[in-house]
Amino acid sequence: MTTAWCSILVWSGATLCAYLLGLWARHLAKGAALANPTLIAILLIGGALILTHTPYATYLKASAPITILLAPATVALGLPLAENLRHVRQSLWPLILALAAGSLVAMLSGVAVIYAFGAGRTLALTLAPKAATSPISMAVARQIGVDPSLTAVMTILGGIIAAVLVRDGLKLMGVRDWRAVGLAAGTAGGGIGAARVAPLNSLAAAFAGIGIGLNGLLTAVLVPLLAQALR
Amino acid sequence: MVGGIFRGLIGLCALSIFVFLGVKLQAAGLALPGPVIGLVLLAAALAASASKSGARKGLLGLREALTPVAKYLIKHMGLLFVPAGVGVVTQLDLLRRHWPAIAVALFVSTLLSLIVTGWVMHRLSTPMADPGETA
Repeated sequence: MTTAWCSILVWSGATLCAYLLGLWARHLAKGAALANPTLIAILLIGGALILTHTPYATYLKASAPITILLAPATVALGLPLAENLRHVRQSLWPLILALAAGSLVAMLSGVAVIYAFGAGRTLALTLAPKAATSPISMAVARQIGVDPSLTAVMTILGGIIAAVLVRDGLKLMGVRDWRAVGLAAGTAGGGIGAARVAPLNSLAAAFAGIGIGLNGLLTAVLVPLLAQALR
Repeated sequence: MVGGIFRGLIGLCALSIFVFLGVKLQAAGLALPGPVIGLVLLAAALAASASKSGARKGLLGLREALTPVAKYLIKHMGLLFVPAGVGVVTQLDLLRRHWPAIAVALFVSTLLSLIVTGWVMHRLSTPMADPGETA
């Protein structure tokens, strides 16, 4: 067996194991948003790379069998979107307006805060697509020329914040409609936000799915325009 | 078991065709990431399978073939972007320098987006038929 194959087996296997440990941790934490399997796996593998002095480029090549599935998984998001099309038709205009408002606010407020801190255009653009679901936010980051791995981590952290805040934040605003709760969780928090509200109510689950899909699309359209405007 | 794997492979093949179409359309100048274009194409094809068009039967077959593998991929999407996410190890300096800005930006933009999306949707939606369904 050549070293390249050995490296693929070791690092892909390690990634799988780290993710399984993450799933186990989430199980032990009774599904708490902070015990996110992806974040745990990233920390474990990142630590392993630093400890073994392995360059990231080597690891990236060795984990290709996992990464290659990301593109078909992104396409797969079209399935829940099609399944929920009935709901989209039923409340088309409220949905479009709420999504557009929420998506723009997520993008612009993040960019504004980064600029206010004087942290620069690159970091602002790294955060701009973060509300979209990870595979889409990363693809957008790559397209506008910022680091996709940083955007991916921002997406995960934003999702965790959304999952923690969604119930109390919306209750405080008097929002009790499950469609609104679901849409907000999916739009602001992607898959992690959706996972927080989906078990509570089936309508919330459907609208969270719509929020993920449509906000992903909207972000993919709007962020490149924003990148041009900030040139 | 073998039948399940076979069907899964057919589904993965179908998804890959949509990835391919998306990537080709992106290369042709459409300003969206290829897989996102594939997502839209797939949603459109599946939506057409629910309507009463001529190509309905073939599209229903498509839905049946890719539903299990699509659900599986979505369920474990978290694993698929671990390798990309590990790339933060190359950005630790940036994180160390700008973590207060990043923390505030993440918190503010996520909270605002939650509230604005939820509030607009709540205000514009017609009240729900079943009051027992409210949160």
